[in-house]
Amino acid sequence: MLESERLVIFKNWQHKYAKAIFKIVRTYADNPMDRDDLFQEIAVQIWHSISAFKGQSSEITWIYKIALNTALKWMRKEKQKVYTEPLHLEPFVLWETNENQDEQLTWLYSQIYALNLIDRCLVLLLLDDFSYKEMASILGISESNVGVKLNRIKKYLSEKSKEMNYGI
Amino acid sequence: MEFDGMKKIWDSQNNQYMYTINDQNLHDRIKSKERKTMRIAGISELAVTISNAGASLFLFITNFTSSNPSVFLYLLACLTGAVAVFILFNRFKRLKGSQAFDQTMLGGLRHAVFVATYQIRLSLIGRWSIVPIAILCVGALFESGKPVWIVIVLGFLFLAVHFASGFEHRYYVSQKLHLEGLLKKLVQQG
Repeated sequence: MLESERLVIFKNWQHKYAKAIFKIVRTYADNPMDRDDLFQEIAVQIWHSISAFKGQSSEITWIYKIALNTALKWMRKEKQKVYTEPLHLEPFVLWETNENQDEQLTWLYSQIYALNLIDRCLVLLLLDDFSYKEMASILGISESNVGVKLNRIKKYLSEKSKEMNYGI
Repeated sequence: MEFDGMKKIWDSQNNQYMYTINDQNLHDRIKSKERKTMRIAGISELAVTISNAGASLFLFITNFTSSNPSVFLYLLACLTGAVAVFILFNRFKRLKGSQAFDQTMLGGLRHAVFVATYQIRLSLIGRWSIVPIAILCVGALFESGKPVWIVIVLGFLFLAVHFASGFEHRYYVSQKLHLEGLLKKLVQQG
């Protein structure tokens, strides 16, 4: 595949799925510097994956597969990182446009961030309207397992919302 | 709040862009990371292979051209050469094995466990290959009639390296345990 063709596809995907990637980035990274880093990492992996995409799944399922796997890998690397030099000498790639975000949305993100890495993926996929079948194909587990896990997560989040009086 | 309420909160962000992207920076960064990844990939394996192969060749040539060749140094040359070949063989095996994992999260985690297992084995080989190397070096020094204190100092140095490499090994083991924990969370029901 020619570099120019790849760039066209990349730009197209970036335009169509940027919001989905932003959500993943915000779910897995809790500060602007990390979000920028994770976003770049996901962008690099998506760039590499373009030639491997054969259309067996939908584009969005493919993007989620790549992005979630990258986020998981990035989390593992992030734990090992030892900062020995001044951080972020290069300009940011991502700019936050809406700093005064809805309180409930901020709360929801914080609750998702408190979940373990696997449960975070599941809740993200559910909130973004993926079917159990699609979730199973992204995660590589059975649909029944997806269902059991999601019931537990939904119950947990509902209880948390009651603690915060969002249930009243 | 039920989950449907949370879904409404979640969907509220669909009408706005949380971030804007600096396209030129992103493209530059992708290109630079691409170059960096290609440089770093497998560099440590190659470094160990080349240093072992180089040491083996050096030992063999110097010993062969020496007026008083040592059996210990020939054995040491063979051993370091064997380590180089073994690491190279395992590298090919790892690269070939890496293609067997699918693009799902389960596949990604299994691949990560596979790589961690490989690193554990490599660190274990590195750690224990020091023992025969140390024995052969000490033997060669004795044979050449070097003072005992040099032999003792060298022995201690090898011992220190052996124990220090234990930290590296334990680090990889803990990494693998963490990955297996994630894998378990993913596959277990509920």
